[in-house]
Amino acid sequence: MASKSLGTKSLRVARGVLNAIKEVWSYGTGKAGIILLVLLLLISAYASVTMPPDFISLWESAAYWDENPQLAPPAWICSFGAGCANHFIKVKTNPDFSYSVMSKIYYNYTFAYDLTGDVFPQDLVIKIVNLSIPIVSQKAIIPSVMVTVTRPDGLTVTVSSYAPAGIIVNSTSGERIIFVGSKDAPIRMSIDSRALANSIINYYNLSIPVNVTGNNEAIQMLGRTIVINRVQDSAQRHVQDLLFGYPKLTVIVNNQTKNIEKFTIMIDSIINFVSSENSEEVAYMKNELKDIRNELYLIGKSNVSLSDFVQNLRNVQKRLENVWKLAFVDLLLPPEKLNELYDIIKYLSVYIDQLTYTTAFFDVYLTTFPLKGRYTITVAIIYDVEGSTEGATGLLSSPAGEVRVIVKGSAYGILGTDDLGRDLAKLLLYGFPIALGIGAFAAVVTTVIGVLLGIISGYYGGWVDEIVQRTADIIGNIPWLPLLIIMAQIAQQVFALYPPATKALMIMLTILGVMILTGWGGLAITIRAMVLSIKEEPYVEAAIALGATHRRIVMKHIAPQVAIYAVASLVSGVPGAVLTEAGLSVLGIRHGWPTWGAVLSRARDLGRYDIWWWILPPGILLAITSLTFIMLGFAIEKIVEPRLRTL
Amino acid sequence: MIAYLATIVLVAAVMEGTGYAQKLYEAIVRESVSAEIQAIARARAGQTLSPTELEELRSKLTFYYSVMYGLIDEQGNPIPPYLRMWNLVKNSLILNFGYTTKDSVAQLANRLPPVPVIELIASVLPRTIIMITIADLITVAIALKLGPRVAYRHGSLIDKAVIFYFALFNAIPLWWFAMLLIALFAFQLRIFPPSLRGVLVCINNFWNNPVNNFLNIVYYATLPILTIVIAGLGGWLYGIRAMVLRVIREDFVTVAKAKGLPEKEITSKYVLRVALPPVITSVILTLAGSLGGFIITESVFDWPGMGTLYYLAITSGDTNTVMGLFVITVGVYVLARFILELIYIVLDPRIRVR
Repeated sequence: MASKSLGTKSLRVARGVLNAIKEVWSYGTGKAGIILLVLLLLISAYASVTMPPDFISLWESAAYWDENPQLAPPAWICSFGAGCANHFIKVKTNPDFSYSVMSKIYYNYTFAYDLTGDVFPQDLVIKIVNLSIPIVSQKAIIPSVMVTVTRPDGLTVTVSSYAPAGIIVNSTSGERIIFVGSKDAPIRMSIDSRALANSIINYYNLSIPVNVTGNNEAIQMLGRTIVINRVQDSAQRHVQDLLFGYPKLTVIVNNQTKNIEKFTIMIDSIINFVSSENSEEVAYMKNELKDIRNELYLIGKSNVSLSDFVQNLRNVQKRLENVWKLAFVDLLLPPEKLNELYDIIKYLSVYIDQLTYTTAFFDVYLTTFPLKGRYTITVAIIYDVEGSTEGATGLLSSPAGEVRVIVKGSAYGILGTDDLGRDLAKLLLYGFPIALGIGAFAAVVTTVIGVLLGIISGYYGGWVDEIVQRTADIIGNIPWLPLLIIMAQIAQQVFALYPPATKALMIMLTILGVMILTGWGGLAITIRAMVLSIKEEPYVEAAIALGATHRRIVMKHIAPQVAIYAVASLVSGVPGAVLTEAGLSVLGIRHGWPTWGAVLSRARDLGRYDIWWWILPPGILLAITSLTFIMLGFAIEKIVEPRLRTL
Repeated sequence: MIAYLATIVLVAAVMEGTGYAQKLYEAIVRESVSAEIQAIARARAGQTLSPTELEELRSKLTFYYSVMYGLIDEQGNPIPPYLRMWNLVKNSLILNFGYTTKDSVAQLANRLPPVPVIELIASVLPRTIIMITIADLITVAIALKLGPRVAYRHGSLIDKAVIFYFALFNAIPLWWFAMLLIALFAFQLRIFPPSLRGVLVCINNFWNNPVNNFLNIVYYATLPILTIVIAGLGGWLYGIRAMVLRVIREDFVTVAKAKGLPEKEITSKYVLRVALPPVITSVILTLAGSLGGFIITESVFDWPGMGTLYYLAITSGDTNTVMGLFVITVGVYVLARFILELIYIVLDPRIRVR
């Protein structure tokens, strides 16, 4: 009997709910809202199933994302603009082939990367996990690792080499094999930018043309040094531009006329001082100076190689020195003019030094262009088994647990990455269940408290009513956002020393708690007003007269009438909590969950509003989520308030 | 009034009663003491302090700073949080907010601490008025102009567009919309500056070159005002439309129509007169609320207004400023509600009779 009544009861409730949904569905906004809600729920379910268990403690660490490019736009934009360097990641557990030469055994892993777009990839990363070091007759056979890249232009560069050091064999433990580089801290092959630069210089024969340097060997050496410095400098700063590109060296010869002019002016001032009438010697000196001046002028205008330029200047210097000697011995010039002449010679020699040791004569610019085509990346692990007879052949089936080769592309995934290389698509996906959870939790608890207090306050009246209404009044007056920030700050302080997962949960609960405590007031006031008017209805009076209990009146007559209003308030309460949490995150209140607001907050901290794929999607998701509930709210409102139907 | 009092007590309890401020103060005392000791050690280079001397100096300085931050009284007895809390409440009620001692907070007024909280707020408030109050006024003006027209055409395409506009901007967070507009106008089109901190220079030196500075302030404030107006207009249009619609359906409007009165007269004499009280309520409460600043949006724009002051004061644990802000913003709100009661008496003859 009891079970039957329970059955019919639940059936009636189910039918009521079904009818309500049907009615909501009958409005356009309601239809859209229900479809979106179902979508949100499905995505949330998928996300909560696929989320890695320790994601909450890992998602903020850069190390977790170190295989992704940074600030890379979504990959689908490649089909629009100039094209991209695609992202490449491949893991091999077994070598492609192995061979032995002399006493060395080579294990080769090869990877092929195709650069299709006119863009440089961001980086080349090579990681080795569990590199094996076999121990043969108590001696470790230490391998060396070599990474070579064969480029589309035919150049093969050894970009990296490594040999583990400091391996101590514990003779007593009897281990047969030692592993270097665990899964969490693999060996990371660093790229030797200097070797790369040298290979590129040799292959492309990067040098300053002979017609610029001339045939002076010292000056040619200067040219080579400048080129090497420039290329190595570029390799150090943007190794990917050299590794995946071809270089172009531009040499611009600086016009020296201005510099020479300074000297001619100085010589002119001496020439003007000397009057030729004094003596024949003075006249000779004056002529000689004039001659030198003219020669200098011509040198300044000339267009010769640096070697010849310097040689000409040296000749001039010599002639000036001779003039100075003559003037000094025969006292042809007053001391201050003699000094002036000496200074000219000194400056000239400084100038010549400048030309021969620095880039005063020419500027060298290095530009690199993406080199499209197939790159073959070979990781070779080499064991030298000389001296150990046993195990010289077929030493190991696989010398490493994993060899990972990553070419960080210029674009990534569906939604790109942020400055830490975090995959935004992943972050936003895992934000779904959190956003819905926060919203639903806050809305449900707020509504339950508001409805309960509203009914109690309205039904029982008296001092209970007074207290509830006064409290609701106070709550209505408080600027709750500052209060929320204060409480969140306190929570951060109080829970600072807890493990990250607990800390995040506690801070979030504090935030939600404040939202709930400041949120129930308005609902309680409305529900109270409704209860007050229902209480005066004749059928309630009749029920009281029939001796119905309070419980029965509340459950039978009051609750059903306020229920639909409560549902409306519940639905429209969801976006508030979601948006508030996002706002707090953006403000810098950290809790540690990967919410949409937390994604935005980092962009805000760095002021990177210009990265559209970082700013737009989280906000759009926030807007869609809120819009879903707002539309549902619209539809439910029309059911609650039939007057609105004609609006 | 009771609500006002309760709010002040509540905030004081949260700031002091939980020990939040105390912890921050203790950290500051520790920092100041060690900084001072280092400075003294540097000043007497070569001549190192003996451990006993050092200990004495440290305890002296700690005492000095603890008294300064109100952690202990002159006799060295610790002041318990609940006592400090009631002191705070008492001082707040007689509007004696004291001084701010935080560099970051005082910097907002372009001064060095200590700065009286009242002066601090007085110098920050105009900036919020420039941005948010003006934006709200513009929004309200537009909505009052367009709202009734939309209501008359309800059911039309324009009406549906207004509802959609309202729903959309109800869903979009204002601060995110601000980010978008900054990205668009400041980074892409480069029409407006990306950071608005520069407005401080114009406001602080306003009287040096009023015309130029005024134009500069307009230049800085345009983007935030535009943002707030666009984002807020939907809600206002929808609200005024709803209020007008409710009145339009009343019988006396139908009667007026039946009498053949011109539409203009119906609007001004019959509809607006009745719809006015709720509209005025929301306008005045919105303007009063705007004085408290938009904490998140101001932070996104980096606008040095009340919201930023709130945030800086809270995060640096500046109890005096936080109390001052709460007392003033809640006070303004309560005052606005009191003024509303008076306005109602003027507007609504029914209340006058009562």
